[in-house]
Amino acid sequence: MTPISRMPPATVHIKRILPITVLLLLFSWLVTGCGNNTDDKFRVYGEVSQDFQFHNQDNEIVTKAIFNDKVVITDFFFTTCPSICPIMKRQMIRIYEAYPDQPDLLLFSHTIDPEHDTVEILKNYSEGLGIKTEKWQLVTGPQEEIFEVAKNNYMLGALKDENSPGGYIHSGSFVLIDKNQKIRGYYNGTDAKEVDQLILDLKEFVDEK
Amino acid sequence: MKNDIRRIRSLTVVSIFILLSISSVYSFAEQSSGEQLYTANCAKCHGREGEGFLRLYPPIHDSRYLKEEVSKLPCIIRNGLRGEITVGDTTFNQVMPAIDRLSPEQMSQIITFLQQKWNHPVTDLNVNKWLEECSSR
Repeated sequence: MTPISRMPPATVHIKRILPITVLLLLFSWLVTGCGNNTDDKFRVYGEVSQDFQFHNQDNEIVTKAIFNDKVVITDFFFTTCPSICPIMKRQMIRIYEAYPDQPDLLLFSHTIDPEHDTVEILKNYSEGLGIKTEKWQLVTGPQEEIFEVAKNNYMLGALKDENSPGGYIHSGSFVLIDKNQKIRGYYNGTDAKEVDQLILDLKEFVDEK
Repeated sequence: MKNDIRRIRSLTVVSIFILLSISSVYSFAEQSSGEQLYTANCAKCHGREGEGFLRLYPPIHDSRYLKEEVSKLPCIIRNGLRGEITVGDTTFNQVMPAIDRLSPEQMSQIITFLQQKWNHPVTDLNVNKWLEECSSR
């Protein structure tokens, strides 16, 4: 007499479950793979909301519209700064050189000393750096507006201070802005290791559609 | 008598040793101070090794201002520099800001440090006099 078993054998179970599992795995891979990868890895710190009107080194008017569909790295400096700016520019040029043919990337440096840093001075400075305007813009404008943009758009500090070398205090951060004008990262522009990381992170944003 | 000569000899040797030690410690301290002053005031632009940076900041390790035109250097440090200069085959045309916080003594320390660092002849420095003559240059 053989016992009657109502349960199907284990192999039957596996045969039924396997295709469903594979389908589920495939579906989840498609969903995450096609989704925006940077959303998971990089938080949003804020948004570039305030419009501006500055002049670049070629005396062209630039507004917030120049950021459209670009990944932007921005910072604040002045050409006669004796403290952190020379270090920051040594690091910024590394980013410039790391992406020689990337039309989706824009470097955007604001002077905080517009009284001295006129368009002519910025042009001269850009020639010293050997940079192309379409890839790296140096901009000047009314000082109050530059300070406001630093605070309102990027949450960075820039102010006059007679006791500081060069007469100003300003942040040494490089700010990473995505193609939707969302702030996605702050990196210490005087620290080569942090800039190494920024160069790596940038790739994910410029590849984004 | 022999003992006296021995004593004098050993005293002389010890004295020379002490004097040499003091002078080398002093020289090290001076160099170290010159180096610190250079790092704090000059190296951010001109580079730790005086290599300069692109066409923004000129290299200074082989500068004529450390050799035949050293008397002009204190004025450049004190008042800054503006306009075109040529270093080697490269033309620079940026603004060097004035550094008015350095005393003549500190300038001397920096210049001596740089002359030693890059094996230029270490010259007599009359920084006070050269600074007085700045305006007439």
